[in-house]
Amino acid sequence: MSVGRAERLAARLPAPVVAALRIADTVAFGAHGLRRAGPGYAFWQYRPYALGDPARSVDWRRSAREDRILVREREREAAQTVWFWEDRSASMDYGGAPGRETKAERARLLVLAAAVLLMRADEQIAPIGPSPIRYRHERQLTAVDLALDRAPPVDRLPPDLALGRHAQAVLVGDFLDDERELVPLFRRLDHERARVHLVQVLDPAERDLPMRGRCRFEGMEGEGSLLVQRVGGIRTAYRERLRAHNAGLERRAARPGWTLIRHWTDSSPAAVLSALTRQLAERPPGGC
Amino acid sequence: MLTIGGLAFAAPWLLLGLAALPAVWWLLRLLPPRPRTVRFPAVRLLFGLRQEERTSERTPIWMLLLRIAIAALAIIAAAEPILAPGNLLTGRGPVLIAIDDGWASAADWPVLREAALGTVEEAGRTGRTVRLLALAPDAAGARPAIGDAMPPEAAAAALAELEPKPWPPDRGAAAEALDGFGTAETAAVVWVADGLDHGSADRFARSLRRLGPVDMIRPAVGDRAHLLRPATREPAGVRVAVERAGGPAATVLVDALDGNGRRLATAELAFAADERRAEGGIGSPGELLNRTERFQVRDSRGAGSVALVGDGWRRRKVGLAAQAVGTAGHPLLDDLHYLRSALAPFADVVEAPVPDLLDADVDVLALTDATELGDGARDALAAWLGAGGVLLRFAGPRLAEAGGELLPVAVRKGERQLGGALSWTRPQRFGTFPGTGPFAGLRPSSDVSVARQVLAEPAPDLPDRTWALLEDGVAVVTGARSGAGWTVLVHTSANADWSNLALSGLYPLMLRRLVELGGTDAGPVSGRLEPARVLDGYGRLTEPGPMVLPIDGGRLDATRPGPSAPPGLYGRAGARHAFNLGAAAAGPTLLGAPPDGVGERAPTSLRERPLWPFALLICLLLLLADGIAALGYRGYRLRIAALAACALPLALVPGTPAAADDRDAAAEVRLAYVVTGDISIDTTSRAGLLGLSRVLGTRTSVEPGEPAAVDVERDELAFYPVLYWPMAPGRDDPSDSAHARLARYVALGGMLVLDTRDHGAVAGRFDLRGRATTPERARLLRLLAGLRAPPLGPVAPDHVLTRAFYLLRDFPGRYAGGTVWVERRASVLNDRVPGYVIGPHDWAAAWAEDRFGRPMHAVYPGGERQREMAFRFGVNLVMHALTGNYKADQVHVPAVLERLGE
Repeated sequence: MSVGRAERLAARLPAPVVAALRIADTVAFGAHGLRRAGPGYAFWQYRPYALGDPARSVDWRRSAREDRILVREREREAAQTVWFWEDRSASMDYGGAPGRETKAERARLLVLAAAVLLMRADEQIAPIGPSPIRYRHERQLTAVDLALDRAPPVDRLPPDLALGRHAQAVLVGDFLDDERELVPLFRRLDHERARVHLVQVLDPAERDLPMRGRCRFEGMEGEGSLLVQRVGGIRTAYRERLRAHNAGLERRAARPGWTLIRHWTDSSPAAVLSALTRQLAERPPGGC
Repeated sequence: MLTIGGLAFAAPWLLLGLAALPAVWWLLRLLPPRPRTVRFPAVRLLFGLRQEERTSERTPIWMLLLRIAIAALAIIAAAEPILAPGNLLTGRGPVLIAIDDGWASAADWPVLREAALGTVEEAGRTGRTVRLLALAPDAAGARPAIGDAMPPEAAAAALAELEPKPWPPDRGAAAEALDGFGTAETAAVVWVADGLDHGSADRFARSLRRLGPVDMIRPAVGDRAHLLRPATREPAGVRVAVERAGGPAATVLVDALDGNGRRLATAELAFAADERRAEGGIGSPGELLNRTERFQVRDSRGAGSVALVGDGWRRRKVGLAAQAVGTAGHPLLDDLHYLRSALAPFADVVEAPVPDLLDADVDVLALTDATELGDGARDALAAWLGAGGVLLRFAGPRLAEAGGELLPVAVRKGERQLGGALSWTRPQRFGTFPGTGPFAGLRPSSDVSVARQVLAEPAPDLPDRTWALLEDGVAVVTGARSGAGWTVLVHTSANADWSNLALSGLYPLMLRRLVELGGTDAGPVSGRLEPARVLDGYGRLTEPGPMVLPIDGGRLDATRPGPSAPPGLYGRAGARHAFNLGAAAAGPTLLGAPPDGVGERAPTSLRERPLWPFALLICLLLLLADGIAALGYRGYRLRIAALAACALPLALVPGTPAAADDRDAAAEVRLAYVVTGDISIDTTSRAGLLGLSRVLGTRTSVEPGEPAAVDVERDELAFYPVLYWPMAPGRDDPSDSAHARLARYVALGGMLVLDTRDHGAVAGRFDLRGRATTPERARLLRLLAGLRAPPLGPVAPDHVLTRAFYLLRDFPGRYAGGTVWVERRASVLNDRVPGYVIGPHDWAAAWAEDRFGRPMHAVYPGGERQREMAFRFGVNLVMHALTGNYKADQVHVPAVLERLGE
């Protein structure tokens, strides 16, 4: 392939996809690997057509040689599906300093990079949503990107997530919202016995509260505003409160099989990505 | 009016506003700036946090100071501060201001006037009236007199109109006026002096002292005026001298300037400390100095710094004797054409019959071979030669035949011919220029050769009289003294017939040397010299005013500059004499120490200067800075890059396409067409000439370049042998100047092909006589009338157009069958090549090809054979224009063949 053509192709890829591919290349998958299930595409056997088989699955050439219609059956698809959910609320659209990546951008990068790594390990990934599509090939990364864009907000998720038993789910967000919104999601995931990996993405400004002097703070999701006469005076109290909030989140995540990774957008995404893949590769305590 | 030191306030009570500044401070401190607004995701965590400090954030101290400064500046600006340094006036009576406005004051005039104006303003501040006393006689010749008491505004206006005069001040007359002035009260007196003595300074100062306390304001020593003495000419250049009253060591530059103020040469004069006179020389080539119109001390103003030069310095006037007969008219054959062109850059050329030239006082008179001298003219010439004229003669057939008088050497009858078809010899090149003649030092160039010349009779003094030799040692330029003047003979012709000397770069160089032989003095001065141009006080030439009187030429040296005789140029045109201040004025001497009771001060700036605009400006700038700071405080960032992008110029304006470069046009043969403004016609013309150029290139040795589009109003036509002009109806007729240029183009051998393109519309004979039947023909007839075209007639069957390259019977274009018209009697000068070829056939359309070589227009009625014939006509046309008429010889071929017995 000529270089020019490669460049044209690359130009068609969305920026987050390119970034994700680059990050994914720098992260090696965990030592344990996921190669437990056989390839899902491999031919298994022919069997006679039965009512309900899709016409697509008929091997017409083979059927022409015999009197019956044969269906090409593949090896049982043993690949595991890893579910992704990404917080797309307005508060994610925040970069604390000019030029800094916003939390939403970083979250998308992490999701896509993790998806690439999983797909390279012959796993399937799917965004949590009403009618989920499973993606299993790296080429589909652009589609994953689009699907994530279209994913519904947390309060519009269907009552039954239908993840399948012992599925793994990766939840990326800032988890700063009132627990009223996230608690139902957590409860449902718990109900489905999913192993959940929470990735909390936060901006350093949310940790440090670096503003000075007299400031009017405005919420990003219509929470209202607050006039602070001297930000320096409340900084300690704010940090204390953030610590308490995070502690609460950690308590909530302290269930069997659940993990929580905290990530600041001023640190490298590769580190959090390798931690995440390591946790994804660990065998569940219950095992299958 | 409140005055604090050098600072005054016009509205001082407004300064009370400064007392309110503490209140402003308190208010500003109380009102904090608007908080910056921050969007923050974790705002929920902030709600309900106990704020430790209840007190509000204070306005930052720097912002507080900035705003206090703005308020203070605004109050001060409103009080209208004025910088008024002068506190010169004492007493309380009226103020008398005496000001030197003679020639020496011009150098420092702005300073002196400012000093006087400062005094007037101070008088205005203290409510006193002002009397003015200008010390030089004014331009109307009135002696210095004390003016009436005026309010300060009127005095300031009068001072603003006062200009320095180009003559010295008359302090004696002023002192008399002061003595005769009785005053009831003592006045404060200020004397603004130019710093020179001018003879009667002491007496004047005593007279001033009588009126009241006197303050003298005078410039520092180094600033004083220079007096430039008239330059004197020396064999090796020019000597100039500058005088001054004194001062520290300094270097003064004296420039020689031409009439346009361009610097020709510069002399550097060094004054030692307290030295009053410095001299220096300019060693520049004579012809450069000849162009000098004035000498001027650089960076020094005033009539004293200028020394004009009269016509004795000027360009020599060269007379060309007008010719009665011969080749006059055609520029390249005209004898005088080359002389005229070569002389014009450095001499004034006059063309007239010989007696008129002698009357016009020419320095050099050039006679070509064609000029005949009558007896009277010969005698007058001899007298003129005796008085110092230079007679420059050129040889030619007539001189070779008849000999002549007024020659430096005796000339043999007949001429020597070198080279040519029937000779083994070759044209002789220029050899050497003897060191004794005027051409010494010139280098003969190797491409100058002489094919014919007249020979000098051998004589003992011939070597002394020989100024230029050919390579074989034969004299080619000779010259001899004749009275006070010279006679010079160039042994070859003035035009390019006998020698290519007239075409070479050597020619103007030699002529320049010869012209410099011409007299340098303007003759004796006598009679009344009318003023022509006079200097003003700043040393600029102006028209003389009504009070300027003629100077008696005999008393020129004794005349003193004054209102009736300002320095300048006097005398009639061509014989101007310079009357310079430096020739007549006494050398400047320093004004001594002032007498007792006269205070002295240097003219530092004494003017009042309002300061409130500056205060207001600073106030506004601070306000702007405060606005930016407040925005920054609230979290806005100035997008400097964005601002800069706005300031960037929108786009580069594309340059207009350059006009056709004449050098390119002359580099190769190019066919040309006249742009009509009608796009389709112009496209056809261009394509047609391209097609014809291609055909010419493939079939003949003419390889034309790209066809040229010509605008008859603007472009030079001389480069194009053929100019194709399709008639477009409804376009403006050419202007008169374009008509004249076109007529000249035809007269000098150009061929104008006029095409009415209307044979298709009006079949039948094409007749130029009678009424025009189409708009194109109407246009053609108007054009021919404008060009004053000669009589025209149809092309004769044996015309060279029918045989210049191809043998043709008719001349078809896109149409065929019309008549083609040419001049009935074409000019001999142009080898009988017609200047006008007129037809209705739309030739360009038949020749036109697109870029693939396919014809663009169908021809009617004849098909491709007619197109071929059209091309053949085009080839004949161009060949005829380029090669002239030699094919006419073929007319005799049948007769010759017949005689040979075939």
